Amino acid sequence: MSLARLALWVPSYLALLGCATQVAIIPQLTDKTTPGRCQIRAQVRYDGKRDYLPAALVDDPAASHATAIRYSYEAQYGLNETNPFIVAFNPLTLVGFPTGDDNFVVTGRVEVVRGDATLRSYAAAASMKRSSTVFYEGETFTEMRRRGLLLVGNNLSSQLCKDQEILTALLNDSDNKSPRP
Amino acid sequence: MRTRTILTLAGIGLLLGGCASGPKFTPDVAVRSDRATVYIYRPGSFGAAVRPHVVANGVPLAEMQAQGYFVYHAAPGELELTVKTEATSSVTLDVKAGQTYYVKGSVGMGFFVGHPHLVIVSNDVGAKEITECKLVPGTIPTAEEVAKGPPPEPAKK
Repeated sequence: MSLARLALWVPSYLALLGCATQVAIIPQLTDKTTPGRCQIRAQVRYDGKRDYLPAALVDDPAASHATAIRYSYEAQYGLNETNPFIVAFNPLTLVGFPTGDDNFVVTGRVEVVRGDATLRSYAAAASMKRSSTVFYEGETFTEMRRRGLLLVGNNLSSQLCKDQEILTALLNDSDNKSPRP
Repeated sequence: MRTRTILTLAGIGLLLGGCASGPKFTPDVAVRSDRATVYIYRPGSFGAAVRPHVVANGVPLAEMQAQGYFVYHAAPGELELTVKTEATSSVTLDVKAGQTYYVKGSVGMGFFVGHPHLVIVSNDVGAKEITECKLVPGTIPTAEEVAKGPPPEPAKK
């Protein structure tokens, strides 16, 4: 590679370095069940967009009313911008030095409830971080939110499928028992 | 000496030229029970000349002016707000009727034009920061107008 080519590639590489969104999800599952491989039918209490409901949960209006499954999620946003005057006078800005970073954390929770009592609960969280430069902003919060909610939904589906027998027993068991006070 | 004064005044004019000039912040009380109150504000003055439109469902709501704010009465459901210059920033809110939300805007460094940013902040932070902002003049579209989407472009002859 010629020196001139190298001189072009290095700044481009530096400019794009660290632009990709870093994603971490907890809990990390060793046995990843494919979403949609199992179905847990129950009364599902969830008022958000259907796309974000874990695929393993199937809302069945005919299912027992005594025990239901509740799904909820929460999103938290963080934007850390470097002072624009510092960015303007930093010569490294021109080779892709970060001008700020966005953080996004979404937590999802599935609860098996009977009356006021929570019989069992599952949780998952996705944390995302991306840096921006003067050349590239990366994913928007809307894109990060969508990706995070789908990841959380898939993770919860895997957890639910792993416990499918227990959950089915719990849901069927409620047919014979009255709700707790 | 005179040149220096003119340059200083011109600099101040450029810095503040894009700032909102309406009345100071007052909490919005004219909200229907089936709507949510979304405050969109930009407390900083960096890049005041950059005033991108905040867009919802393809419909421009108002300019994101430096030290300015405006209120949008949103219908329940997902609300995506977008601002665009040479870069795009967008946030999506899960809007619930009767609730209040704060979306903070800012403009950072860009290559040719400043990069706009939007972020959802907590009500504590938003309520505190918005007090220094002034109302952006203009009429904000209603949730019904936003739901209809942008008007169709006139057919080319």
